[in-house]
Amino acid sequence: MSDTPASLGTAPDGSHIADLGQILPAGHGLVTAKSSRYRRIWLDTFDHRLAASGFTLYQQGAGRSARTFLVGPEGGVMAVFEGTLAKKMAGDLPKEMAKVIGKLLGLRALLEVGRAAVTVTSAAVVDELDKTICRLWIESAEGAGSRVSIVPLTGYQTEADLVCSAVAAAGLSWSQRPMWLDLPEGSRHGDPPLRPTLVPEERAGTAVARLLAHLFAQIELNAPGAIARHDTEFLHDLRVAVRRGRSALKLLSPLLPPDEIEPLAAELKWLGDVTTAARDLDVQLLQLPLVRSSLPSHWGNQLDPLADLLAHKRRQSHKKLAQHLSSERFWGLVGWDLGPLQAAEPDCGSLEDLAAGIIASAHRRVLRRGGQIGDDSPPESLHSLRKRCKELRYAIEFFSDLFDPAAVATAIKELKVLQDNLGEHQDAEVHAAMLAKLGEELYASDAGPGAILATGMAIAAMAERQAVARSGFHEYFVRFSRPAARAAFASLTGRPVR
Amino acid sequence: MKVVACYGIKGGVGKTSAAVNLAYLWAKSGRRTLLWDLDPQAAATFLFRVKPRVKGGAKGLVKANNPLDAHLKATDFENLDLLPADFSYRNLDLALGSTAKPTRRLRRLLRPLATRYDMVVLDCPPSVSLVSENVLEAADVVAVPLVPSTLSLRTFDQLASFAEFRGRGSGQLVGFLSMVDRRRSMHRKLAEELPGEHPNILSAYIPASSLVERMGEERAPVVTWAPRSAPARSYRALWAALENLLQSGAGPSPKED
Ligand SMILES: Nc1ncnc2c1ncn2[C@@H]1O[C@H](COP(=O)(O)OP(=O)(O)O)[C@@H](O)[C@H]1O
Ligand SMILES: [Mg+2]
Repeated sequence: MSDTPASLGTAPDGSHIADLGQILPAGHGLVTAKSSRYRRIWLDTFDHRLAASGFTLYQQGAGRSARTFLVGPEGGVMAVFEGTLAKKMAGDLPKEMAKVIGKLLGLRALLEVGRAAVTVTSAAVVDELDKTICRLWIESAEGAGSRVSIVPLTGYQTEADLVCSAVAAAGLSWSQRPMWLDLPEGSRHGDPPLRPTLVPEERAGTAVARLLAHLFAQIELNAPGAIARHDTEFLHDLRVAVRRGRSALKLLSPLLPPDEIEPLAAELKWLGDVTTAARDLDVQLLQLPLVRSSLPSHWGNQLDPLADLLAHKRRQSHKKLAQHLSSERFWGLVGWDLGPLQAAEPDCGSLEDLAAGIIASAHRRVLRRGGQIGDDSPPESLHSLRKRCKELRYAIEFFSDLFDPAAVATAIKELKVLQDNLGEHQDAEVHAAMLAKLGEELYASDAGPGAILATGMAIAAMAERQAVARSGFHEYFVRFSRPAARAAFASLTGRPVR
Repeated sequence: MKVVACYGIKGGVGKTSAAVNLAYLWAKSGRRTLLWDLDPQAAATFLFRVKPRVKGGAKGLVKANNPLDAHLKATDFENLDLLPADFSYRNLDLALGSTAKPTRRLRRLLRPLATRYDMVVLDCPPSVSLVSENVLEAADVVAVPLVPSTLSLRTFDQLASFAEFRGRGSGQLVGFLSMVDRRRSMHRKLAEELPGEHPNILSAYIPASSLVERMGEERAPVVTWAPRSAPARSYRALWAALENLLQSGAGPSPKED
């Protein structure tokens, strides 16, 4: 009965393995049991959520002897599954694995992130009586070096600790880094690009060019996953990058040459527009379980024809999406020549000043527009306030490197509460409208009355959600405009808020 | 969690030799197994190269709510842990006697281990005492090695009536012949006839063999280092018979204290 093994670091060439026997505490010896070689495939999400939290997931072996292992942050095997994972979403995982990493995966699919032939050697450390006091696993892969894991045995923790310190004293450091991250390029799938950081003394042109380049890289990187439909997050992230790009251009437009900005803004708008239908259908399908459960008892099941219709529409819209995402126009956008933009030399003082000014005025706009909304203002006034909030949010995020992280976090926290309310209000409306359209289609097809009635109930439930959000708005806005929240923005930008 | 005890009134009849091999075989079959060495002579502990020392000794061990976890030791074999013996176990009787419900102490101590182990094998000291009463209370099956003689058969019968007197079903106590010398006609005759005549004596028996004695030098169960030998085959047959008994639901239904 072994407990959690402690993982020790790697040496690029694996040379220390042979010496392990010599560095053990006096009187101890090493008995090597057996070595096996496996083809190992590592899995993680596109954005490496498992690695970021210290988990490693891999499958090895083939056919009936194939196994999938989940290794935890302490290096211990937390779950073993006989076979390989056929489906790769959190909901499809075996129970034991879902318990540990289900939340972490969220809506992301597991994808292959690396593969290599791995040699696994198991050995026993024995004391002067030849009694095994702990076990070692030595794993090595071409190009990724070796790593030693010490597996303590029940009742021999002290002894295992001694071995740990002896091995560590020999120059090996602790490592929680998954092995696949050290595989050579080609056996490993590229890391997502790191977001560039802004520097206060940078010129606006360079800054925006660098950030746009980053956003284009994000768009390009997410496109294949959105086309392959691994999960819905690829398209979502792609669209977030598009929106960020659009806001960046909009925020900085007074400072940059319009000839450079306008055509690019048009292309970004195009990409946003052609991806909307597919995203809306994704959202509808993601929401469906919630909608079902909001209906009384068996009425939820009556929505099956609606679900089929949605799935059908999504397939069609993804086909179109795939065409757009592989079109020349798309590649023209992600390969946009940012040189002229970079060379632009706006007359605007420091980036920091500029950013503070942009955020402060975006914040003022939100306060002004929100203050004008009364109890009988039309829904559109809330929708447009939502857009202003998004602009403010993107401005803060866009320039966040230039400000105190704590101030940024506080401001975003205040804003997010209002955004959530406005989002709920608008999403429910959009959702209800889409359901109404789908209901008409269902009616025209040969779906029975049950489906129509259930869809009607779902629309009513949405309307109710919207009404609840609407009636809550005033309170949220009062909260957002209270002195403490204003003070948070003032301390972020260093400018007073009236 | 099932509990099997290797028990007998006499010493030197093959209890420990059987216990270590059986425990190993259960572990090898995939059961998470614990071997508890209750004999102060610590022969089983010695065979697994573990130091015969339990912090707090017999007294500490039987104390109310004292978890056994702290004393567990992994053996060199997968799935097999040992609860070592300690010299102070010679006073285990006295320690047990000082507790409430003294005959159920062992049972109670084992209960929290049910999530950790599927199988517990008890290697018992030779005696009729409070320890043996505890063993009878705790075990689903008590396996008694018998050297081939009419005398040992009589003791087995006495033991059976003692068990029955303790309120346990007759299926709980089984005997098996140990140290059977096939060259001696009396041994051969008993090995062939006894199991048929006596419902609680198993047909699997352990032959006398120098390989069993050599376990003291090898310090590992004979089934691990001479798996094709006659005694190894016999231990496997004995194991299969006991496993069968357990699966057919032998032993007491779990009683609550
Ligand atoms: N089947 C056997 N053949 C030969 N020697 C045996 C056999 N079984 C046990 N012995 C030896 O007899 C001695 C006592 O055995 P052991 O298993 O310790 O008995 P117990 O636990 O009943 O006291 C040990 O030296 C052991 O090696
Ligand atoms: Mg013994």
